[in-house]
Amino acid sequence: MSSPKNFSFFRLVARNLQNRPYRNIAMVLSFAIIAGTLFSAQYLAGGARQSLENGMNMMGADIMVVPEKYAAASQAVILTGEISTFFFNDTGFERISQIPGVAKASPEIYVATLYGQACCAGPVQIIAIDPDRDFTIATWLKENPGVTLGKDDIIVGSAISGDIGSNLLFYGHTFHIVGRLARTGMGLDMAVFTRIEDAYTMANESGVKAVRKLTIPPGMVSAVLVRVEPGAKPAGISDEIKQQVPGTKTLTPNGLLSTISGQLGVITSVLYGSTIAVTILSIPLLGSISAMVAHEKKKEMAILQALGATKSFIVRLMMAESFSLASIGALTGIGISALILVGFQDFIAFTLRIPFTIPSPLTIVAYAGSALLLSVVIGGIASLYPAYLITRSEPYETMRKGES
Amino acid sequence: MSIDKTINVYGALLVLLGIIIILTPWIIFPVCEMQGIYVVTAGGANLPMTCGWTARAETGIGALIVIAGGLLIVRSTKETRQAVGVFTIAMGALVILFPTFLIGMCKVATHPCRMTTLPALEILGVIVIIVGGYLVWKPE
Amino acid sequence: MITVNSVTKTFGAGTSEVRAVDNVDLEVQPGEFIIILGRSGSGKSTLLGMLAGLIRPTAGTIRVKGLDINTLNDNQIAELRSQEIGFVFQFSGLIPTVTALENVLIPTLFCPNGPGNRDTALGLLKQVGVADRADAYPGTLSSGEMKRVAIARALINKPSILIADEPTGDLDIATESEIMAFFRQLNSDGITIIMVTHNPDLIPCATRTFRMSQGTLVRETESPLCPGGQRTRDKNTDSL
Repeated sequence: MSSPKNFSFFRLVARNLQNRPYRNIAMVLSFAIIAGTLFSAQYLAGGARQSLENGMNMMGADIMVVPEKYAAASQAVILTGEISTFFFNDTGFERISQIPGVAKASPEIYVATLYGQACCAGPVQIIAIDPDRDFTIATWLKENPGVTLGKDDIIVGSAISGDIGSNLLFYGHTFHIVGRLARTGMGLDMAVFTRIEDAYTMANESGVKAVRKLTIPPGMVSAVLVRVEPGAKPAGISDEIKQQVPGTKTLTPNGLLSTISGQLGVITSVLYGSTIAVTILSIPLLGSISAMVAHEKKKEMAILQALGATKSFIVRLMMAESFSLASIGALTGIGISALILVGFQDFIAFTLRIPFTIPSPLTIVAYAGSALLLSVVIGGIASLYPAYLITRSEPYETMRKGES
Repeated sequence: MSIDKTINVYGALLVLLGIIIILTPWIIFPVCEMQGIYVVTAGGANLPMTCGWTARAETGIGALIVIAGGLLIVRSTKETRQAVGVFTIAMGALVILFPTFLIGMCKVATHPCRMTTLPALEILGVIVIIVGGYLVWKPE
Repeated sequence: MITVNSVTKTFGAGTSEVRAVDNVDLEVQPGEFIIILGRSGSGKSTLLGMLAGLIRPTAGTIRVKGLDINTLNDNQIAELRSQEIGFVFQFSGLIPTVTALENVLIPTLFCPNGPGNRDTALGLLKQVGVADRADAYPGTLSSGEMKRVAIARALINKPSILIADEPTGDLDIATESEIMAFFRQLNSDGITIIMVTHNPDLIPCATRTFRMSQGTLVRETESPLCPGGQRTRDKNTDSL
């Protein structure tokens, strides 16, 4: 063991921590659990929110008009990828386009495909669009200028397998994959976008080519996506739409967000509740370990004072040891949590039935920072009373007590 | 004597990791064929999918890691430790490469092999690499 | 250097009150080598503690290099201790979690602009004869070696005063002679030494000797400086 160049405060702290490794490991584990739980809660909540934002941005719509009866189904299509086929009883599309404040309106037809597709474990959601009016895929197409949605072309969600240029078969009709959307963590990842006319072609041929016939009633749509003019209020236009086209429901990004928040709320309550519970349980444990340490170190601290250490030095030394353990524990807990959360994110989102995507790196750092801060604060609190006790005692009396 | 004791701990750790790697694709986070998802041929036979072949490869690598750990327990000199460390790093890399590049998993995102088996193997592979690195560069 | 004026220290109160130090006066000049003899329980360690500013007197004043300890707060006393006073504990008092060399360097943490550094520390360990044990932990050192390290530690910041409580207490005769020779060297280099011992054989090394008994300090006859460490009394015939 080589000696240091010059002895520093931090080297003293490090040396003290190397003593009694098992007890220190216990403290590190406590901090790891506290920080890991908080980080996980924030990560999941943040990831769900991020996914919704991405998805909503991708949709590009301020309002989504759907049949009232199928409002839940349409939410499920977007959020969790549950597949549906449904239509408006009344088209209403022209009426919606003409409502003042509506900048753009885009019709969409939703069709659930059959089971047993080569590309996928289960059926996928076909979303047929009018390329002239669509503003959802339009954004993506603008970002990928080499791609056009021509006859029998499809743009697939990120979770659909199949290389660009390869073919997929739906209802017996062959489609060509020309593009893949970015991951949103929402149900749209399991969607396939094609043109409305190709959907009709597919439906017409399905009687012959497919296992089951698909019927798309002519002139009917499943949903109308609406973008409002700048300055116009989506809420007011929503009301107008519901009046003009009875039997419809309007979905907004905020509305979808609150649906998810409700589901997510349960999960995050459990997680945040666990964080609080773990913290409350840990403080007495950490406090008693700190008190034990303080008792053992009384003589040592007295010696340091006799050698010239001020009381504030002693306090700083004890707090530094506690902060070090808290930081090591927190970083360990955050690291392990991050490893599990990132590695198993698909599984977690699938099981919890929430949309999920990894939050931005800056956000993750912020979550880690707050979890670290919580641990450090708890470490500081746990070491305060023992530090106070030590500084109150007379060093010389403490030292003499140890002598025979 | 204490050096031997420490190395034995790492040998035991490698044996444990090897066993976990073997068990992961079959029991802990089972691949598709263990959950009844097969490729059905035209003749009606059930064939394992890509993930099944990865699972078999991981079983082999897991066994090798167990052997490496056993070697370290039985003979714990500095040279053995470092040699085992080097090969452990390589085996850890294979644990990660089999399901990602070399063989792969199912393409469908919602298959259990992608959602659970793959990340579990990736994490295990990273742990094995770290243990191997420590064995190579461990200070005396 | 140090002026003690009618200093008293009592512990406890009422019927359990103990007068450890009772109305002691003492004047220590710079460069002196003071030895205080006394049984255990005579109050000598308490007196030393007060001289080092570790214990506050119940009554009386203590001035160290002109500063009245009663007027200094804890931090100021700590600063004074780190810069001017080297203290050797009766039980050596090494920190068990750091090596011998690091123990010697600990006081440099409290005196960052002081003269102590790694080289000085190694030099001191060499002077006390344990340089080869610099990287050893206190748990592996003999009591004699620990004492030597403690002495080196007391000297790292080049204090002007060395206060030692039974520095040769549990050492063999040969080691004791070596330590006393080292102390004499330090004293001739100008360091004021105040030492407590129960071994009267060491008296010849002092400029002045005192005896402490039941809290009171009595002057022994002035002795000449110890001529090369010769022992003038047989240890076994003397009793305290």
